[in-house]
Amino acid sequence: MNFLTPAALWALPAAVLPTLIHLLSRRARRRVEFSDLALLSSVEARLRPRARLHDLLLLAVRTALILFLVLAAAGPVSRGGAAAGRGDGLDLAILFDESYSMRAVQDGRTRFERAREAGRRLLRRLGSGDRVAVAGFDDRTPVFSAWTDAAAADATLAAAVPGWRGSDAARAVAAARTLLSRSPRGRRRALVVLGDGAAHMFAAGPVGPAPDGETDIGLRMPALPNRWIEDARLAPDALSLEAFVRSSGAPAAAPLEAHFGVGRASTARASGVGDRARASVPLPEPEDPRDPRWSGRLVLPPDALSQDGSYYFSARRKPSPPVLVLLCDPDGERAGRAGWFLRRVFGRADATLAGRRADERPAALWRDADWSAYGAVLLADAENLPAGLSAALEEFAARGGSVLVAPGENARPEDFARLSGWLPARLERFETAPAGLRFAPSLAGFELGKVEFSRRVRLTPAPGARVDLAASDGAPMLVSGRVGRGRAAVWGAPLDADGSNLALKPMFPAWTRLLLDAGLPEIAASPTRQAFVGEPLARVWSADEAAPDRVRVRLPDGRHTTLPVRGRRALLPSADEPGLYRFEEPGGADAVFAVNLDARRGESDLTPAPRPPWTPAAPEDLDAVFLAAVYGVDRRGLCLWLAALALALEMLLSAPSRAAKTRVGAALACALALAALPAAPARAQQADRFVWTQWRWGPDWDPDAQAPRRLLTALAEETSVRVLPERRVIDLDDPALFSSPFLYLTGAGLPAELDDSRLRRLRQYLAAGGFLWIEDASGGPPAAFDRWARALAAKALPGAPLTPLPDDHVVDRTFFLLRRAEGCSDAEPALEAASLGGRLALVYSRADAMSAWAEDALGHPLTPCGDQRRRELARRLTINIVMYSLTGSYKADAVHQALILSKLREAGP
Amino acid sequence: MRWLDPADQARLKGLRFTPRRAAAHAAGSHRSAARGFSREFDERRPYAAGDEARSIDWKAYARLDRWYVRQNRAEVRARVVVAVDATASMSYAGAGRPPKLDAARRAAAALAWLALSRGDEAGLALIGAAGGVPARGGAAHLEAIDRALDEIRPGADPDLGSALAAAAAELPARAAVVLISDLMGETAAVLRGLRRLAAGRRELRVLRVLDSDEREFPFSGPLLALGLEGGRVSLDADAAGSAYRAAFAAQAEAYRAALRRAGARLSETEGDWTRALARLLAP
Repeated sequence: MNFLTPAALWALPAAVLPTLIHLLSRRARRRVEFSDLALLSSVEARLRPRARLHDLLLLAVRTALILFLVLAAAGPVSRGGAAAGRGDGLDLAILFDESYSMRAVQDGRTRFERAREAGRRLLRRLGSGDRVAVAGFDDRTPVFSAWTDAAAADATLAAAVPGWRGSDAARAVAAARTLLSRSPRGRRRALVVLGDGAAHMFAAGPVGPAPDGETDIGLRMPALPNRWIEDARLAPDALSLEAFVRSSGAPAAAPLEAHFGVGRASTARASGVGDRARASVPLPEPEDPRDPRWSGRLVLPPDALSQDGSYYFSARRKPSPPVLVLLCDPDGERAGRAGWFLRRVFGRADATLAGRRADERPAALWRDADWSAYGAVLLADAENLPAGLSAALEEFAARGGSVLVAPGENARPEDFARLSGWLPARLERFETAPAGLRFAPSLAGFELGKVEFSRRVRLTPAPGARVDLAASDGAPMLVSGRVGRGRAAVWGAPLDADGSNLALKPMFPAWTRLLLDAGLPEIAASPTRQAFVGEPLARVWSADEAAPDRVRVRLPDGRHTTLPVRGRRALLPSADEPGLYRFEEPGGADAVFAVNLDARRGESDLTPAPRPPWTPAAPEDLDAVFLAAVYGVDRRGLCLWLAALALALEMLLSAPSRAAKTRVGAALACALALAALPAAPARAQQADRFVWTQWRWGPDWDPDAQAPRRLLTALAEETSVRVLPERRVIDLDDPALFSSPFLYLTGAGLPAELDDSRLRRLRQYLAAGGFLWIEDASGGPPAAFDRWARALAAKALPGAPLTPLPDDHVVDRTFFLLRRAEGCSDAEPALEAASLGGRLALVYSRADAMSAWAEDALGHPLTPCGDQRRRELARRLTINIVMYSLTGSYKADAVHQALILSKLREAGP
Repeated sequence: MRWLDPADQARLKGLRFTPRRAAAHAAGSHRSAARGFSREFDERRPYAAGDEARSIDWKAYARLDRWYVRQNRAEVRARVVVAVDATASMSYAGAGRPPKLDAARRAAAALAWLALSRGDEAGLALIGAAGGVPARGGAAHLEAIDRALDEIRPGADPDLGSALAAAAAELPARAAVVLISDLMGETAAVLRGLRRLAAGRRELRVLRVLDSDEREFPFSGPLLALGLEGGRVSLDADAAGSAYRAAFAAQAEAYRAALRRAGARLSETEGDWTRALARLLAP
């Protein structure tokens, strides 16, 4: 306990005054003669204990009254430093957490907003002699601004936005302490961490206790249940995508939506126990079988932190193009011959053991086949080669095809000579061979030692070729290598049953796959196309690819940037946002990189740390906790309260009669009741930002979660409106309703009827100046939602029926000049509205204008919306409606007429 | 006559003090159960030797030829003792009012006058103080009583009960005793004293002389009460007032009940004692 003005404590002896007065008044009490004291003294004896207690109480209360008044005058401060009352300035380092977990939404506001608001409120409490340094931090070392005053720090905070990386409190706090350790001696030092106080902040390392003389305070926010996708990768069979879902505070099992591009979506369900679940999402047919790849987004249902419920993926599979099997032996399809075995393995297209579709053709008719339809040509029994076939095979490989060759029983040396000219191995001559093959991982589990060959071709691998399989004596049996832009593989033994028992073995399908894969271009040459936020993205062209001199990169927000290609490499230094990054080459080829949030250190886990290394404070009372910790708690108010209480007691005790006591008591009770009336908490304002507020009502309230964000981006770019990028989703009973002058509701199915309390609130909201935009997203003829919306409008604004808006209404002019309101749907009328006091309070549209903003992760529109022009008009209509909600009929003012008319003339008829 | 005001005399002229039992030691004006000499005929009885010849009813002899003796009722004098409380508490006077003792003296004088004027004997007993006049007849005796009243010097004996008991021992039996007192004292002791006064076939009447202060306790604030009979009590009048009034009322009720049971009449006065006296003497 310290005192601001200890001199006032000299008045403490005054506390004995009541005792003195009491003693003196005992002597000075009135002397009265009375006839006989027998009765009086018996009465007095009976009353004496009570009277004495009363006197003592009164004495104590009066002493306490003086005591508390003196204490209050001395300005008591508890818990604070000794310098509390002195004029020393404060050096305050503020660290605000920019990690993506700050985007978690609670009660309609993100953690970041809450933290920022708490920080700004704190800054307003600082004095003129105080200095502030502000830095945002994530998992990198923060860079502090120079020491500034509170106003500059406030501006920094106001401009801050949350990022997409993880957080590392240890690193940030270490930097802040280094800064504070250099502040001049005698100044108070404090560190405030505007984070969420979650346990993941300390995953990278613990934070040590605060050094002497430094006060550390951090925000603490309640735990929120959250689900996130930790990883998604191709299943080993490359036919589905395996997604790994984690959760905290909620079961991980959840439905999962997968978007594979325009109009291609599927759903799956992640199942599992506790906080881990797994989902298997079947992959659709690739768009290009020669380069099978998929990119898109996996989405969990929205929760507190919905950003990490999205996982972008870019998966490639080795291509499995169809195979053209050429048979040189006219009887090659007879039982026991190579063609017969291969037909068994390839089978029909839908039930193939080799994983490929294959067509057979006699080699003699090779010219009739359309080779461009195939990715691979398998020459199953190379013998008596027709003229030109070898050259055609070489050209096919050089253009990027895959050529697979196995010798025939009757192969001639000239056949070997023709093929050896360009194949990755030289075929020399037949020779006898020991039984068995050496181990190969892709043939694990098969009896490799029991494969027998009556004879084999001695293969001599060319430089740069790869031996994929070897015989038990080490001689190469399967050799593959590059041929031009393509690849070829050679098998060293005939496949007929006479030459080898390989085709009779259960391993034959697996061997076939091995052979086919050996002939595929090496996909490992291209680096992985998954990255975490903040990592660089490098597109590298291999030597056999044609590298452009520049690429255009489409960023997730729809913007483009152009990168030069240097050394067959285009580098995007940092992927700052999760999403799909498409590197578009001038020729039309592209490569898609998926960038995701890095949840490996548990950034998505929103559980607070059990024992944070600083004084925790809720955002609402950060300033109080801060002032208490740094300056101590001013107990003057408490002392005055106690003095007032003592005074009240004194009045009560010294009231002369019972009736007077009752009166005094009643008056005191009234005063107490008045004082105890809860002060209504002032609702936090969103300052001057427009917040897209969406009403969560009905089954289809959120057809596209990304559309509002795109609208807001456009609103911020094209108009001077300042926006909060995160939308706010509320129900009508949310207190945030009245800080949201704009409310949007969309739906297609039939929502539930509004109950009385919600209806009352909606009326209140509209009457108080709120603007409600209802949009029927069903598109077709008026259906259930339309009836519901009209009924709602009639109930919410009984005196104001919905009327179609004329084409020259100010809504069509508030920002863009529109000839008429037009959305994606042809419904007439496009806009209807109910007015309240001269303004439109409720706008109902069947135009389906918001769907113009629906895009997939790559920026392709999700809805047709007529054509591009129509889409642009619909987008303009949405912006106009938002602007109308902000400006009202401002543009109807005659001042603007000349400008509007001239603009209309410019625009032409 | 210091304590007998002609105005009081005129106001009290119609009153008559009628003891239920008069003492038969002297002829007086009160009816007695005994035979004696008065003009009131009682009965006749046959003459017996030794009867006085003048009591023979000669008219009856003439009619009946037998000697009968006329017997008349005796008329007796009552002996009235006025017992005046002379303890110090009687000298209490409320603000602007005369001491209670003055009223007591006047009432005592009036009582003595009433008794003497009826031919009864009157005496004065002082309780808690020395002095007093034995009961005697004759108008001249009033002077003596008046003088004795004048000479009362209130004693400091704080115990009214024992003073009453002491005074009772001095009183003649079968007398009519009128106690003029404030009865302020310890209730049980006072009641004991009253019983002693009423003993010995004495007829007791009590005139309670109070000051309104004693009933109302009109004080406020912290007080140091000094008793006229000694002692001091420090108390808060505001807190004690109601309790005192309740206690006083309870005490008065206790006196009333006890005296009613003993067949003694009680009358209370605060100031106008003549009315109280009239109530006390009412037939």
